[in-house]
Amino acid sequence: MDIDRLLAETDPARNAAIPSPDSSAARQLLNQVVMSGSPARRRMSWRPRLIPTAGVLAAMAAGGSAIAVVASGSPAIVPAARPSLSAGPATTVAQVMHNAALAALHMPAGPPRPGQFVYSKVFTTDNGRHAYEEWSSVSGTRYGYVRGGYGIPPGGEQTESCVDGRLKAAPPPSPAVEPGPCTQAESAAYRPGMPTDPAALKGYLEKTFPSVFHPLFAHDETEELLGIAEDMDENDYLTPAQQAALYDLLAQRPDLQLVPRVRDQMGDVGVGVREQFADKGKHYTLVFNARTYALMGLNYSEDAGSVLLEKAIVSKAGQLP
Amino acid sequence: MRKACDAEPLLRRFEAFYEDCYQAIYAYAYRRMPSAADDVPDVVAEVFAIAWRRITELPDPPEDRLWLYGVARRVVLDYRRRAVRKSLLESLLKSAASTGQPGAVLGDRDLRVWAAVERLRPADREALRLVALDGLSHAEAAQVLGCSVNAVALRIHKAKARLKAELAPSSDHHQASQSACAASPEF
Repeated sequence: MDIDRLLAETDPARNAAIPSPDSSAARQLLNQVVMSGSPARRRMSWRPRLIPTAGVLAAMAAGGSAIAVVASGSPAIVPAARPSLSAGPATTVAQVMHNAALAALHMPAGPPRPGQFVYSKVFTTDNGRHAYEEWSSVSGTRYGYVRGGYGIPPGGEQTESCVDGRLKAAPPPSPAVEPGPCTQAESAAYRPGMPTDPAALKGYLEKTFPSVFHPLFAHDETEELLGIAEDMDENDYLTPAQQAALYDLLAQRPDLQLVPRVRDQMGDVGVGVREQFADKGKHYTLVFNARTYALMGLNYSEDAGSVLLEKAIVSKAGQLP
Repeated sequence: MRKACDAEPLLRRFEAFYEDCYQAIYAYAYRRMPSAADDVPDVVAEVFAIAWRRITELPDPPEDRLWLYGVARRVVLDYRRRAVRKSLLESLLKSAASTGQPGAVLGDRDLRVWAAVERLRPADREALRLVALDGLSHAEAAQVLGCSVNAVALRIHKAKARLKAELAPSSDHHQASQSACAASPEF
């Protein structure tokens, strides 16, 4: 079955009467838009500005890495304080995320080599309970592999890769994959240039994904950060310091709620950090071990989500740790 | 007078941008809210109104187009949050029923495919739609979604495998999923 062809043939927009930009409807809409207001004056900069305070300068002088950032219209990103893991249960989102950052920093370190693969084994309850395994090329230039997902052949199958600047299907070539342009850096499962402190990470995300992390979309920033946490959890690899920076960034978000007791999709109980969406019953919850603060899984709703069973760096696609 | 002169280049740029992207954004919105087609022009208007107000902050081509997809994604999401929740199939079947000819307006195959696509995990579904229907490359879709190209490739790979299994004529899952989707489709 050619899914691309099927999708094109059933595309909801294929028979829609989409007006041409020269049509009266489109011209009228253009006029309405232009008359609706004036362009806003360009802001001097919407990127975070590094403003070293006296305390920060003192900390830097002392060899610390503390940085304070003030972004116009955004809450200040404060230094990634590194308190030791509190003995009692964390009672705020910030405490949970800081503890998670500390836990991440204690994970086995060491950046992967370009020829290696990121192995992930994930259990999901999204449309049925099943586990799947993925091998993603660290450099983005070797064919990946996926096994065990719904609809994936029993023996697994190779996934696309960026070869000579073009996205290519694994041999034999799948007719479904159009060889689109790509770069190794974009396709890599590991981004060595991703910063390891929250302020720089925010700037990096704004620069790397300008259509996602833009002040215009500030109200959705938490959701996007959680999405990145999910991607990094399931598909890609973050060094412990990169993961800690991401958690420290999430610790600053004012729209996250603490859920003291929540079950992951395997039924294990942990502590949750949740963004509740307006859609009834929908939320995004990171579930952490309440004792070690290691990430257990992600819930998309009460009955759907995923649990990361294993993650490792291996030498070959298909190789188990 | 000075003000008008200053605004003129911006207006010219916006008009050219609008003409280049109007149909793509219209189709983008239509694909994600087919049961609310009457509202598509309003959504498109909101997308371009934001672009006009932010014209001075627009990235340079070709990233301006991806930025606009990012705006469209947010506007559609906001619309879906605001809108009264209604079932995709319910709306489509109502539409078919109003003609007295169920299936005459929309084929059974369309309904099956749309429902199967709606059941995909949201992140997988959006990656698939951006590439397979909106015509973006994997790298462009990654820009719009804020993830790596690797993640986009894996999402699409899994989405297609799932659709293939679910839509296969002999699939046992087909019958079960048809009844399930009537109960809880997303939109």
